[in-house]
Amino acid sequence: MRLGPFILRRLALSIFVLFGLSILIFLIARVIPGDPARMALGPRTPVDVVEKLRQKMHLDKSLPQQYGFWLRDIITRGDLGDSLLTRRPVKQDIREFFPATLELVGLTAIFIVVFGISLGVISARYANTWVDKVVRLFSYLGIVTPAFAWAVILMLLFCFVWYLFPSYGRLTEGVIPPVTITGMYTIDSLLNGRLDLFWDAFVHLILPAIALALPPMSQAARLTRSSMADNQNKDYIASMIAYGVPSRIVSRKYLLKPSLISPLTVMGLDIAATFGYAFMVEQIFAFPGLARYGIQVMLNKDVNAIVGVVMVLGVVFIILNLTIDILVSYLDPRIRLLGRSS
Amino acid sequence: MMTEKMFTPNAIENPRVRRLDSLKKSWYKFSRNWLSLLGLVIVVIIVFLAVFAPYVAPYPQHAGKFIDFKFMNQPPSWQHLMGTDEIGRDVFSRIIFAYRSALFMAIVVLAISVPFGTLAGLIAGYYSGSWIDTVIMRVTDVFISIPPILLALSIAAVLRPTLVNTMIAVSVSWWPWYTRMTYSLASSIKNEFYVHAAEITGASKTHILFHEILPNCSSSLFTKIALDIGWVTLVGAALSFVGLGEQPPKPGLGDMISKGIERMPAQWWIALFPALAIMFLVLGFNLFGDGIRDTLSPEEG
Amino acid sequence: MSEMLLDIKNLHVWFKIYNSVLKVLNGVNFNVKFGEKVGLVGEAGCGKTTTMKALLRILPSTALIPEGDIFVRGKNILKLNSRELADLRGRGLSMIFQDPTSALNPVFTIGQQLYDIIQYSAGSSGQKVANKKNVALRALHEARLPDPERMLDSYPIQLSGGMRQRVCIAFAIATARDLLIADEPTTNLDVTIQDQVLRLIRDLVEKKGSSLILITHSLGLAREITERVYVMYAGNMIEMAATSLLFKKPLHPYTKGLLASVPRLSGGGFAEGIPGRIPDYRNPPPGCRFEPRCPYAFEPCSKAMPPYIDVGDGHQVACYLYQNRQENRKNA
Repeated sequence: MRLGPFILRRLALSIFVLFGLSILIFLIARVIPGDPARMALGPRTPVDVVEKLRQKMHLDKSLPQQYGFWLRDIITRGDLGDSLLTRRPVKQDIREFFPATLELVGLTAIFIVVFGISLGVISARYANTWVDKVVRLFSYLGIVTPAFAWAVILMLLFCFVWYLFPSYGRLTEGVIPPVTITGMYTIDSLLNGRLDLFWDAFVHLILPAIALALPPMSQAARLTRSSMADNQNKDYIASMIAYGVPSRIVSRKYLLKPSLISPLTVMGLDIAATFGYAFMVEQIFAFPGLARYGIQVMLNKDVNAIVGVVMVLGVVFIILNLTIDILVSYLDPRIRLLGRSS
Repeated sequence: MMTEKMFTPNAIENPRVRRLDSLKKSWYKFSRNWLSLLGLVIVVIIVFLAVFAPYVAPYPQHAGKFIDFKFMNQPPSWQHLMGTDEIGRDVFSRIIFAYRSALFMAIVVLAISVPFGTLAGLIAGYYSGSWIDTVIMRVTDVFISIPPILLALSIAAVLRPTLVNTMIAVSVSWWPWYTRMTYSLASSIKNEFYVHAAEITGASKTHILFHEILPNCSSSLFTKIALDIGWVTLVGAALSFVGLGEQPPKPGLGDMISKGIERMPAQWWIALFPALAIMFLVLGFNLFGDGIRDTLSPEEG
Repeated sequence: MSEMLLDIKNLHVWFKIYNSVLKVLNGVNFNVKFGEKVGLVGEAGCGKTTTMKALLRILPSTALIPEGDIFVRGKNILKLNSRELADLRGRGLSMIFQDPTSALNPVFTIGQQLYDIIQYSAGSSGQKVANKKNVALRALHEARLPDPERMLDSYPIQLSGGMRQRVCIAFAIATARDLLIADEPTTNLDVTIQDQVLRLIRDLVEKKGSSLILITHSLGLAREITERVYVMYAGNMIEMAATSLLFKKPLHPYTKGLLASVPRLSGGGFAEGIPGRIPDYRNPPPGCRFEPRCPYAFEPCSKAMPPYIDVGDGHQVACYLYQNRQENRKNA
């Protein structure tokens, strides 16, 4: 199976999963709380007003029909209802908070991949020397310290002991954000040609991103190193060297590529998990992102908002998984040709 | 290259002597790595603190309903090794009690998820290739694809945020990892000769699963359990950060951090020490777990 | 001496393991003339592959060579600088590994790997090789692979075991080399393919005039292809003779045991194995390493390693049983 059909198949599967997820979420949203109309209006509203709202919300129809209306609203207008918490349309909340988290996780992902792989390669190249030992020690500490602990430590060190970085928010107070194109301040400011804004948004992102990235980055470095060390002794490497291919070409090309397969898969899982830990880091750095919003609405049983957040995250995960699958199958032809690796 | 077993005559026949002997050998192997010993020391300290909390903590009453505004927000001193929080409670004592509930949660969560997950994995692995395998592993895949924190969060948020519910939530998100591990082990072990031999001689399925296959998974299982105590604590701390878990006034590590964040940077000790305490625990159990893995894995020939 | 392509003298190779040393090669003597086909026979673990890896200088980092020399075309390759080493690897030697699946990088196409091999066969001169594709196609064709064009774009996973081994052979013969080392080339293949692959190796070697070292634990294979055979045991060459002579008149007790182990199609009787095991390389016997298993062992055997004794007709054996013959010949 070549790359094209493989992608199509995974895409179709993903859409199927998305549908399943939407049904599940819908059911949970309808089943758990009491009467959504009553909850929206409050306990003191007279019964006939509530009844009118119930009709408007299609609550008198059968469940499948309700699902149909709900889905139609989402797809055509992106209408997820209003949030009980913020009293605004959920759509608006998401549009405000989601790009923030996307920026944060994006920068985190870049850190994880770039530094994780580089450190792993360096560690493998200088295996058993002091360089390797230092990197391994550092990686170990990185792994055992959770992201929120790093957040606390980094904040103390770099915001208060040394006044290097800001400790809250997405921009310095009083600064007007760039004209909204994507909602991500870093990208928008670049698109607007405002380097000063870009820098301001960037320094607000760095510390939380580093805190989130350290554990998975350390894990990736470790995995890359052990993967390279394992493959170093394989016959296909010895064979290339015996034939006279220079060792730098062998390590950069023939050793690196097969060694990246398992670290990349794990990195994908870790980046997905980062969305989970992001809420704590966002809370600590008072970063107004979707993760923080998501936790608050979950604890307040704000049904519409919960549904919105879960759907958005669901789409993100699916896209993320698909991207990782494509990347890994590009690296390892065994997967796309056989549907599995050896 | 085969490592040949040395057959010394006499005492090895006695099973008790043999077990003691292999224990001694395991300890020797374990203790050669100073990192594993460090892990063991840390684990022992933490367990000791957790078990004897009411007797070891300098201010045990601070772990419950206690308010003393006279001593609030004190920085670390000889009286209060890690300072006091915004209500005047001793941070050090609260951390000790927080260790207690953290270990309690870890034990309960593992006690639920390990047997369940392992059993599912054993069955799926033994019947690998059949519909039983497919059903079990697909269900497992669904649970695994969601990061444990999110799954635990969603479940705990839907139910009332008590410690028991949080433990249930974490258990539900934890068992699939044991299933997956046991599944891959069992499906390769079932092809070994001794399993075939047992089948042919008519051993019951229960016997095969529990007395042939399971013992050969034990080293991986023990390693994973040791490491998991640290990770479960981490997830528990993340959940208590948002108020799921041990409810105030009882101390939870994540909860202490989240309250402490509000007082940064002036009263930095309120957030920093619980964070370091989590690090200490995870580090200890990780080193210990790695040591166990190195001890139990067979020597390379 | 000038007709000697390869001459290994008294080679010792040790491997460092966590708390001791494995003394695998114990003074190996081995040589190959230009254009000669030599067999190297021995059981698993006797050090055949280690010797070859030492020759190609691809021993793992835990290995050390405390004593011994390896001469290729008269030059001591253990003392080469990196430029000379690059020349040696580019033009001198090639190896076919035992397991073709692990010898081919799974994430690169055959073509990508082959092009690099061809390119770097220029050795230290670094010249760009023209027409890499033609050279590659020709190599694949000579290795009797179907549809070479498509093969270039294929991944190893898409090929059968026999095809993979033929690809490895193509790698080995793509550019002109003096020596082809085939390490158990047919062990992991189906019986039906074994014959084809073996004949392919022999034909190619004869056509290009290269030398061949065939490593195998199968005496039958050695007998078919080689002109001269070495028998190896536990890190020593214990017997060497022209192939037909060795099979007609084996001298070393181990060789005799090996030949007796082969079940016969005609005649009666069961095959006998050789009781015992190869020694522990951490604490090898101080004398002849076969002594613990040897039914003819006597007093000098456990004292020191027996020297090579030339019993005439190019037949050498390292065994005290024959020291009289040497002396007799000297006296005669």
